[in-house]
Amino acid sequence: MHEGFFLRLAAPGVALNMSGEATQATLLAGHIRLVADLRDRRAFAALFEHFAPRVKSYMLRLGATAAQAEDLAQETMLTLWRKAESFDPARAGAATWVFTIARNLRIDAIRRERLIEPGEPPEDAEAPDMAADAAMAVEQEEGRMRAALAALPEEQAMLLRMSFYEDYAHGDISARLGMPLGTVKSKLRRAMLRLREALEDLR
Amino acid sequence: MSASHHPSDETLLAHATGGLDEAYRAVVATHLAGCAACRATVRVAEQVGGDLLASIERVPMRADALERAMARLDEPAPPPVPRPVATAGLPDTLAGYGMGRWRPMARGLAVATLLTPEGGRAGLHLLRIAPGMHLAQHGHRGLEMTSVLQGAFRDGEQVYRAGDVAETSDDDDHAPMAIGDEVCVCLIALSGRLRFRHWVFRLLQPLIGF
Ligand SMILES: [Zn+2]
Repeated sequence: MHEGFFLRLAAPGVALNMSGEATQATLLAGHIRLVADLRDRRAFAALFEHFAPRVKSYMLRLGATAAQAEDLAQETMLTLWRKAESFDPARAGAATWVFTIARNLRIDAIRRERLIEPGEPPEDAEAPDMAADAAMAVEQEEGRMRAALAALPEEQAMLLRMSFYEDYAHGDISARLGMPLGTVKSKLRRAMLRLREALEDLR
Repeated sequence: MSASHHPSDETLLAHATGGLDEAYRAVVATHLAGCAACRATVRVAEQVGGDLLASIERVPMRADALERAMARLDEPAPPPVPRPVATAGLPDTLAGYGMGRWRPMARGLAVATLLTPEGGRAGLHLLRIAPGMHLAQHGHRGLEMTSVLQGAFRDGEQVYRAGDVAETSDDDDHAPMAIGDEVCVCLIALSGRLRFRHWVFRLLQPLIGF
């Protein structure tokens, strides 16, 4: 009850650190809110320090050169600055939102590299509704997600990770691990089912 | 419109990671536009992405990275790229994909290929199949993903209608047939551009009067 009270006070502005890790998501979401509302450069700098090195790492894991990864991290942060209004904490947490920006920019970069006009721009979210309750719900959901991920059998978790960071088609994962394609797919399916169930319990 | 056949969870996961070839991505996006349940699943997978981003090992940016970023904040945003308009009759999710002309393959069957600028391993095609037309397919390798845009087809026991997605892989032996009164229009992604040549199309007797 106390925790809920403090989180309620904290979201979506600057968080009072009551419960460690979970509060960081609220803090980041609050920074994005400050960027959206006030064009707050200090909040942006904090978001940059947090996310840019992670996005760079993600791009490197996906085979980008150091220069490409650096540029894509810069582009991701610039997009965050420009599109902060479309961040909807009821829909996704800060890290999830930044992940989708980075993912979409990478796809665009692949298109650009082929000197073809980009097709679909990254999707725009509907008008954000920044209810603090919703932000809390997402935060709770993220906590649940972390717990559900941690509870997955190690192999399923590894396959999930591979499918994100190594950008292998499932067939390539299969070849690399010497695991039949059908097995890779059914393990991923089982992992997804568990995660969905873990989140559905919450609703 | 509520679909009764959806992409598999592992396909939705691959979509969320950004790892799907463009052709498959187009088929999935077309389905997602009309399916809230699958959009929710994609959001679950995107949260996994967010979680992994939160826990990934950080790689330092260049020393002047923040300075460079701050200097760009006042740059005017680039004008929005005008959104391409989809060819009449096609869903918006296919805007931006150039479309080749319809080529008749057999009586009651025409194919048009969509251009996929990323040049992935999978090709994207539109099929127009007259009711009663049967497709026999042999020796295809890899994943084939079909989204029904109009009309319906039957594959074995299953009936696929507008909004539905059919996924078949290597070992599936199947012979879909267009059913109903309407021409069936499908969006189909399959690995290997040349693979399409290996298809054998045969025209069966129309069901009526059989
Ligand atoms: Zn669906």
